[in-house]
Amino acid sequence: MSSTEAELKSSTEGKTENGPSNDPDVVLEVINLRKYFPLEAGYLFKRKVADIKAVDGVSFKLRKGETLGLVGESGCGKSTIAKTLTFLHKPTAGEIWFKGRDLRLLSRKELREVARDLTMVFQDPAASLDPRFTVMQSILEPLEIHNLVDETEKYGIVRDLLLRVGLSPHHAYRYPHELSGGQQQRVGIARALTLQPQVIILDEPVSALDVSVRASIINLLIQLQDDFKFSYIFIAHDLSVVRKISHRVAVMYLGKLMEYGEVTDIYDDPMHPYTQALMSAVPIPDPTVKKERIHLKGEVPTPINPPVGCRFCTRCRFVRQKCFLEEPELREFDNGHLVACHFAEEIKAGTHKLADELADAEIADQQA
Amino acid sequence: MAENKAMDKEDILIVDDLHTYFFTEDGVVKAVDGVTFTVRRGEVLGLVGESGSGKSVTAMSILKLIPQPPGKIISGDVIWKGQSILNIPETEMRAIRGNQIAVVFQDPMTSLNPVLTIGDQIKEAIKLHQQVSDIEAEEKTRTLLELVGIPDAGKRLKDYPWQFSGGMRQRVMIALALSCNPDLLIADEPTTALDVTIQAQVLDLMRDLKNRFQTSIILITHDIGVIAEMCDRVAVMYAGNIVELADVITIFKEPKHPYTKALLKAIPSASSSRDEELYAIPGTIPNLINPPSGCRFHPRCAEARPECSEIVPETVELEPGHFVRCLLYTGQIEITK
Repeated sequence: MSSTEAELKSSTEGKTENGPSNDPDVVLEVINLRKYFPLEAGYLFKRKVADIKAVDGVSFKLRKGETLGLVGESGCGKSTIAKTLTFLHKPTAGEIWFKGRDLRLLSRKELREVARDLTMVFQDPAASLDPRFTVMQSILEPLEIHNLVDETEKYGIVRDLLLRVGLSPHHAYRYPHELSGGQQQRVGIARALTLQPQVIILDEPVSALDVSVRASIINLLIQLQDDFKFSYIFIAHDLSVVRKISHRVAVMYLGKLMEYGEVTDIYDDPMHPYTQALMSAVPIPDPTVKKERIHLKGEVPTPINPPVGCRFCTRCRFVRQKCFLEEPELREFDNGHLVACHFAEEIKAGTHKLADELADAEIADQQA
Repeated sequence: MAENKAMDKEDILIVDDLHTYFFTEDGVVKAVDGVTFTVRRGEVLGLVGESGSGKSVTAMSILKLIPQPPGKIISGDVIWKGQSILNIPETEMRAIRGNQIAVVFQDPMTSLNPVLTIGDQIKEAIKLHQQVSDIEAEEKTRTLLELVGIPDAGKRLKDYPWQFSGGMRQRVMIALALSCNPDLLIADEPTTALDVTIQAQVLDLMRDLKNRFQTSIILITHDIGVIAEMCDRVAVMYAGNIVELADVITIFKEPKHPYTKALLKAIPSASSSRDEELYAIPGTIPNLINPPSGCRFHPRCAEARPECSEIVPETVELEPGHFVRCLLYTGQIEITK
């Protein structure tokens, strides 16, 4: 039995140990979620040689009517989280609590039931709609899968949904190729709303759209949430869009959470050195503002063999020896602002020297 | 047009009333329909607009890389260092392309040859355009890779494109584009496929090159933030026309064309709260086979007047260097408030 399997067993058996928090506002809670993909070698007989640790121990809570933004660079595991939550990937370990049940313990049939309340909108609207289905067929398909179609009501449902997402009823008989990119994404959203879910996972929903269309989709998503109190998990690499739509933001790096907190905490007062670098890299649409940019050295290490201590230690400008040896825990600072950094306080207070400065000082000391 | 008459010595590229059409089964797509601008030595000119506005076709027309058929440059001129490139033979064009004008495309993976090492590909470009020995070419390749910040350049020469990450591959593309010290670099969405931190590195690299070698850059992007950070002047394109052209501060602080204003309002700013609605331009980008009559933006324009659907606006120079193509400013109609 590999270590991950052992962990999986312990986490399912000992569920009373962790369990979800008792906060009634929390609709979805993820505890220590891991998703490893096997790396295989060999020609005829494939054998596992290593794990690709795409998501490696992530915990967060999603509250009713709230948007959680997941940000991080490509390969940090944000899309893997989305796919694991919808069971497109089976999690390797950890707990996913939704409506008082741990999804990992449910049978396929029970999962299908839960799936009604947990839907997803994908990045490429053209690729996620069946080209041979009319808009109406696409919107009704989730109902058919769950055997909920009422012949007399179905036209009314489609009509309401189309109006709700800003299309007109005559679009029901169109095929995806007859629609523009923005309209296709509206159909994708309508389809996610068909079953009146509680949680909608949005994986880069506006990345493929033009600026003017993107604005209208963002407005639509905010409007729908205000009206129906959906909870969103919003994944995007465009940080200004995440800021606009999110209540809380989780910053990921190499399969782990680096920082988690309210959107203003993360954007205006980032505490983790990685978040600071990420935020400083966002171009500002104002040519008169010149901001100082924190340069990240090197590349993201491989998730097969991530650094032992802090995941970010190979690129951090504040790095110390401790960072290579000990993995920092997520620690709570004021009011739900979590940071995984050994030196968060010192960095915030400005008493923590840059690694380069420290090296220079040491050389100077030695010379003296 | 006015801009050409005031031709500066420093203008290295003049695009004059360029029309590039595509003749398809469905009809004639007027992808670029009367585009005029200049590029000065050592400046970054931004071409911004939504998909289908003609940014990339403009760039390809400058390089004479429009597939023909179906595409054709119908009229207008492209003047490179005082010489019209539309009439010169393909053999001479090849000497300009890559040597004097280089391109960096959006997706570095599709623009590199997967079966050749990075070193061989850059060496090939150097030897094609310059009289150098094999050893000299290799030496130059290594310096170039070091210049664009690839660590351990000597070893990585022997690596294949798939062994590089996305950001590194885009650096290789820039190294390849710079191999012959071009006077003009056309960067077509160079950072769109990259993460923000890598994007910041690539943009810094391009800015550094501009400052060091006085390379002119045409930067094509739909990212308004990148435009604000990088460009000296900006041309805003819509449906095959340049609707506004000015220096970057004017575009952001005193935009005149309703489309420029709408575009700037459509992006979320750092200060805008969640409850504030973003401005969304109504309607969609028009079909360029049958573009709207008059001003092409009038069906989506917040400030449209009845005349806008009838009269094609001319381009006027409001202030020196600030060009607008909108009836509200041209004096073609009477404006009563």
